[in-house]
Amino acid sequence: MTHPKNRHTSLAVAVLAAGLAWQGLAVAATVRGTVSLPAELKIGRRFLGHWRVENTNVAMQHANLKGGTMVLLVGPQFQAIPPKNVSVEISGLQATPAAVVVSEGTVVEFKNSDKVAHDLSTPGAPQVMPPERLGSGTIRKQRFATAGEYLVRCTEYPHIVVSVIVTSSPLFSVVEDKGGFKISDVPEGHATLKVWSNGAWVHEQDVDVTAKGLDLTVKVQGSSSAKETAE
Amino acid sequence: MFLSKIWFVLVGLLAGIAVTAAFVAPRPADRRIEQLEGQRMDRAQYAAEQLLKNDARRWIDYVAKLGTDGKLIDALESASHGGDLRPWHESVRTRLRELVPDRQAIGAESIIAVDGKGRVVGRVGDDEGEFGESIAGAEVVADALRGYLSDDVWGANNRLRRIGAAPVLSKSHDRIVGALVVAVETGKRLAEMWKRNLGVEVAIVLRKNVLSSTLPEALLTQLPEVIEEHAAEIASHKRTRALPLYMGNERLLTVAAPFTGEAAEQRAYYVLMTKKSPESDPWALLSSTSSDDLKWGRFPWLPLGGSLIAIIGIGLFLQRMEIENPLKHLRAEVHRLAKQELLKIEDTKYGGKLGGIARDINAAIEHFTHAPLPKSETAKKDISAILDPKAATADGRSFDVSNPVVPAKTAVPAPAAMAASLFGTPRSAPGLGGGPPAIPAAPPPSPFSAPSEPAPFLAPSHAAPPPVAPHHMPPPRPLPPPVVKPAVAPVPVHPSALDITARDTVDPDLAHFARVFEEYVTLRQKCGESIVGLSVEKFTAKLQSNRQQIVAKHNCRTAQFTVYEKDGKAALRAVPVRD
Repeated sequence: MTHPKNRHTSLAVAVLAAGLAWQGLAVAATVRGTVSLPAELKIGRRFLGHWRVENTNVAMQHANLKGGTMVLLVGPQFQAIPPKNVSVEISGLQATPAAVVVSEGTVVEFKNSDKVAHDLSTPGAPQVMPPERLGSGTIRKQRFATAGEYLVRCTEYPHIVVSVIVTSSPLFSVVEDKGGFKISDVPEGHATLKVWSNGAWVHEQDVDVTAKGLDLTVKVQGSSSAKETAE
Repeated sequence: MFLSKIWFVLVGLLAGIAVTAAFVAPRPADRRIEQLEGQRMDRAQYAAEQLLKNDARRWIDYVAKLGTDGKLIDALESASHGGDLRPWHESVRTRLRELVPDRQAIGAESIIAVDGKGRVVGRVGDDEGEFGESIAGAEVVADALRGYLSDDVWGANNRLRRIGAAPVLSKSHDRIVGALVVAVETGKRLAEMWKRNLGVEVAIVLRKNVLSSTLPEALLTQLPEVIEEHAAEIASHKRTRALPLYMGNERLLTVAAPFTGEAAEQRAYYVLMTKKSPESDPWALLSSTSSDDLKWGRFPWLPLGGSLIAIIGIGLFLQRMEIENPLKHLRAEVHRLAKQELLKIEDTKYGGKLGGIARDINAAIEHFTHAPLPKSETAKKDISAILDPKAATADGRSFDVSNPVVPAKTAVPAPAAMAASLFGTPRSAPGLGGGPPAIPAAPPPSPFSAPSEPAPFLAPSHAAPPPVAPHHMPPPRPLPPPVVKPAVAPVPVHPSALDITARDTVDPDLAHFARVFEEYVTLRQKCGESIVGLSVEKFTAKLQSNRQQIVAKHNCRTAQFTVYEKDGKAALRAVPVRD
């Protein structure tokens, strides 16, 4: 048997816990959905040559987005997260991840795991990250102090591009190869959803996040809207 | 000379237009040549782009065909399972060497075989010993591993390489087991080939460096800067228009276009160049003509020669009509004037400057004969006064008949003064101060006989001489009124005058002087002037003296005297005779 006093205490704690749980559900919704990219952003090539023809035997495989497409929620009510170190590895002549979202003051580490050297820089903002040769197996640490979008490029291999998005918003998600994304713990209220792909903001829309969360289908328009805003 | 002037102005304008055309006409031709050269460069650039495209496809097909080799397929399929690549590296490399024995000859720098994960299994050419590293991130390799046949251009390590890649399918053609990648030299070899095929100079530029060129690269230092200045134009139009480029003393016309693929991001361009034609000027055009250009049928000799002759002929005709003929006539009139066949030139016949010359001559004659005397002892004195200064003192103009004075030689006016009276020249003539030499020792003038016995001043040679006037003359009496005909004029004539007139048949000068004297006396009478004191001897001596002075001064043969009326009074005029 339980002491009646203890029973009352347990009931009060249960009510309080239920109330807190309800309150918590009310302020932390989940925004999820699918991003549909145009063909030009899905082909997996930034620089085309004269020819690109299919073989006649095996079906073409989809290009790996390599983490280069991001969904970001921006709103005044979002609290910035403290800066922390982020690592980007260059291996097999490609950077992984291809895009990072960091807060102001974050230090990004670039590690070269290739056998060849890479000359990394931000050509659009040379003062942020001047050209510097990154030898095989070495690391370059670069601090991004100011909000903005930066494209870190390799001079020798221009297809290697790392998008560094410096923002105060902690709410972002990497778009999967099939286009799905999920952002958890989104406060209720009005926000702006932005899509970053291939080194540019390619989509932007207003959303009202409710307690139930959102399930969005984001369709990115064609090349006319895709501009490299970072540079 | 109006038409001549107009003609010369027209000829000058024509010459000016011709010279202007000679200097200006080459300019449009230069622009046209530049335009044509630019179009030629455009066509060359298009052809170069097509060559690149065809070449890319050729290399893609080449590696795609290599990828059908069974041994390669087996090796790559086995390597794609994972694990150590060492067992497959040598077999792949050896097989590639067997398949491409002439790799360097065909221009392939390297051929790389990668497994399904993008790892290098084997390669021939550059870094043959290297394997194992992944190049799956390279877009052209990733494309090949997804099943695409594609091309690219890489600009790594200060080298430019065209890349072709193709997937390697399994023998059952149901999956991709790897890929083959070929890197083709894109430098001197390509430039030389394009120079042969396109007929233009070629340069390849990567990141502001001239990698290779058919021209000396040291002379192309300006080329990267010129291209960078037109980066925006290249980005939008995939090429530049024809740009001028100076290479030392040479002027080049250049067209730059970007390579495709990654190299475009690395500012890799191919540049086609041709030497620009030198700017034309008349001298350059003339120096470049050949004898064929001047052949009959090519050069308009007949029209040009005919036009030239016509221009010259018209000019000469107008000059003869307006200048030479009037000048000839004027000269003839001047001659006649000198011969005293004319009193003055008919200046109204002449226009322009010739008319001015004629008027000037007339004015000069008028000046010489009517010019006021300068202030001297003969100033404002006519010939009568000069001939007899004493008479001039009496009335300023006439001789005193009642008191004739035989002028001594010293009393004769200076020759210079006489010349001044005739020609307005006041200065004296040295050596001519003596008396008149032509008629020496004229008898002293005798007083005329009484007017009651008048005798004609000029009587015929057979006429009876007038009575010789005695030395003691009666008091002077006024002369009778002037008569119209001097022959009947009651002028007492000195007997010596008869002698002179008698000698006229022998000496035409004396006859001339007698005639002048007669006219002079007649005109004085007509003008109501006194003729007292006039004697033909003194008159003749004076005229002879004057004639000598005139002959000496004007270097003429003789002088003719005429009588005329001036301001209502008789006067004498002397005209030099040269012929």
